[in-house]
Amino acid sequence: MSEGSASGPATAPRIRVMVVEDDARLRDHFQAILEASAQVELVARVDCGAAALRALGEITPDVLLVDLGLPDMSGLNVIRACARVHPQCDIMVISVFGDEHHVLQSIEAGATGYLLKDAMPEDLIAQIHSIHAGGSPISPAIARQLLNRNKQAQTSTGEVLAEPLSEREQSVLELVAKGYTFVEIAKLLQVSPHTVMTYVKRTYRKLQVSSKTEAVYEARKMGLLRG
Amino acid sequence: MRLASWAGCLVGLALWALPARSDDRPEPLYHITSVDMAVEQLDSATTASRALQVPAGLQWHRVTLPRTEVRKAVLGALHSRVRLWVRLPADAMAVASTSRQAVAYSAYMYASDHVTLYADGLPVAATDDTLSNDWNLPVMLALPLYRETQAGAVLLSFECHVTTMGCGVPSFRLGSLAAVNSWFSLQQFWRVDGPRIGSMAMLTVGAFALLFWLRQRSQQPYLLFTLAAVLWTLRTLHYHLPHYPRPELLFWWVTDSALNWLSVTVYLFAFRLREERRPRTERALLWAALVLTILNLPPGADSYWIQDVIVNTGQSLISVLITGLLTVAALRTRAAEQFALAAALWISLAFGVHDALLQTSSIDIEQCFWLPYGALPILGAFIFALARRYGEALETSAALNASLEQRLASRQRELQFSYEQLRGYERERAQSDERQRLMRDIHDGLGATLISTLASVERGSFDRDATIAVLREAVDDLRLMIDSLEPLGQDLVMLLATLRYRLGPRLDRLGLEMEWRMAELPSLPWLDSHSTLHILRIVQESITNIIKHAGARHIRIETRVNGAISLVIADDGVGFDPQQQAGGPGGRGLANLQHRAAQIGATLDIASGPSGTCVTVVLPLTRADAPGAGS
Repeated sequence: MSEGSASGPATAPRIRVMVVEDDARLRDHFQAILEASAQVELVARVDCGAAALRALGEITPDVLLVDLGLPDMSGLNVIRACARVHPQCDIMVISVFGDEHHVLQSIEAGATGYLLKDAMPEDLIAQIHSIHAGGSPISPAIARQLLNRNKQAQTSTGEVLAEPLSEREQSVLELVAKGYTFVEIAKLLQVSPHTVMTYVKRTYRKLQVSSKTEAVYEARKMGLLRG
Repeated sequence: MRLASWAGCLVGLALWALPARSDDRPEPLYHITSVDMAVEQLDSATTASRALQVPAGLQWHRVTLPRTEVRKAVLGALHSRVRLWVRLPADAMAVASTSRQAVAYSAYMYASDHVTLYADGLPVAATDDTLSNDWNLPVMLALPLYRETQAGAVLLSFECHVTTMGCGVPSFRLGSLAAVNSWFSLQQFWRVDGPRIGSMAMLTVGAFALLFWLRQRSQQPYLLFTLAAVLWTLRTLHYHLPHYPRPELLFWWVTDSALNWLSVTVYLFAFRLREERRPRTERALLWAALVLTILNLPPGADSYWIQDVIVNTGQSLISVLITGLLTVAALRTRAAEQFALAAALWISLAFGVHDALLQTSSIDIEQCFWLPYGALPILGAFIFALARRYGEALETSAALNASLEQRLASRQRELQFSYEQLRGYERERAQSDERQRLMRDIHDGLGATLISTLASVERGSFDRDATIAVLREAVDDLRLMIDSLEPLGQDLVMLLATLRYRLGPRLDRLGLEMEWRMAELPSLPWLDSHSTLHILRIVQESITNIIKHAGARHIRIETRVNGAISLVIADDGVGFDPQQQAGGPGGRGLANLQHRAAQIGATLDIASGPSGTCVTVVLPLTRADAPGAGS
């Protein structure tokens, strides 16, 4: 979970969460969920990109929840800024339906995961924990997209990955695309679930490196590999 | 390269001219224009063609040559035979020469034959009387090398049939054999070889024209030209043919009549070339030519009236008329080829007039016949006309090609445009169909749910948890619809995987264990968004049923392929009795499932017992109807 400490959640430092969401109802909803939990701490909530950039200059969140559709700019700008200024912050994109195109764009810009807007409160907290612990959520559709990009890279058309996926990474993505969970995949490939997560992470990193992010960002990604 | 070829030409010319210069001086050739002449009457009893010796008692008188002896004045009765004697002057003969001497003449000798040369009172040379065209041939007679005296009398005798035109006596050339021969050869060329070459040229071009016409039957002028070439050759045969074919009268008939038809052919050619027709004039000309030809047949040809007056006049009239008509046509249309043709005809006409004068001895009988050379301007005019025609045809073809290309291009554009339109319509139709299906799906699922929830909230029968559950179901269904609209490429595996991904956390929370067995499924060509939605709803509802009613701990979702795709949703719950449920409240759900399966052409099989339930959906690999055709 968090570095070093093996104590229970009550004594672990609370995860500092910043929310960037222009829909007031949704913002209040998130606020309510986050404040109700003892494990997370809402450190900032803003409703537009400019305010988000200002806030990022002043505070350092552990997890950033950002909506892509902001009134004054695209959420991708906020993601990129946060990745630049706070490399160790985990960024989750708030997505309505998790459509692959936007999710992949966000990951390219530096996001680590995505969150569905209608997630149940328990799910939200669990996902924040998960991403803070280094997990990378991936849906079958996103896995399919990544596999397609890999195929395109081999025929050198369209968007390409920085380097092609390894066989293992491909196997993992294919099983994800078939609907298997990480646990099931770990059993099928005879590795630990953590290893499976690592493969996914690596895939995301290849996606990020292929977009024009700074080398320092790569370092941050490597720093996320814990345990 | 060009310089070399020019140098070569010059050298060749020099070499050719050189031998001429190598002569010390040309040998002398005497032109004898003053002789002594005597007329000897022949009676019908004299059958010998030539006198074996010079008769005595001839009345000599000096005459100037060439001359025509007119019948009444000198010769005698019409159709009688006379022999003209010519004595060459002694002083001319006195010129000594070590080589052989010869005498030659070249003139229109229409009435004379059996020409004999006498030296020392005896015949030494004679013309070949078998030649048919001797009236046109130049004659060279050689004196023997040895004579008693070089200055001895040299005489020539001509036998004449007395006609209305009298008898012609030409002037003579006297000199060494070599000198006379070169003069003779020149005369031979102009009188015989030239016409022959002209005819050959006409025939050759005519042959080409015929070959062309055989390939392009519609191009009449070419055939007409071939005809003209043949007629021309027939017309001028008599100038150079040494032996006329038998029967000779028929030959003369053909030769004479050829002129008519030649004129008519030229007329037709001129007008057909411009693709004009003068039906009446053409018919009149053809009839006139036919009449004249018939009149000219051997029985008629003998009669002076028919032959000389009617036929000849008629022919001349036709020629003049045609020339005039073509000139008028040329002036009207101002076409170059018409002018060329008219000019050629005028030249031929002029040549004809010259020859006519020659034939009537109105001009010097030593003139060559010009008419055979009248072919050349006409040949030139023909070739000019046809060449222009060819050039025009090429231009027309090129222009036609260009316009054809243009039309093709514009037609292609039209086609492209209408194709695009068609595609646009099809797209719109497909989109509209899709939209309608979507509206129906929304109405059936989301619409119904929201409206019924709204109704219950308004009524006040507001159960918070129930409402939350219903709204969550609505969001789930909305998700399903979004999923179904995504372009999945007919990938059933992706659909089911996404569904599981979404439902997974919820099942985990409820403590349900999921066993997931997803095989590689072939892509289904009939899987459109409509069918996708139905499959998802079937699975979703089955899972919902399990959650609500089965009280199960374990769910198995599995796909199998054997001829069709089997999708199995099994649980280990309490099960139910399908028959019983059919009538009860849960029955509607089951009926719904069956209905959805039927809609997509799948079969639904429910096996339920106390140890669990198994819902099997069998999806065909192909469907007979087109995707989305059904409702």
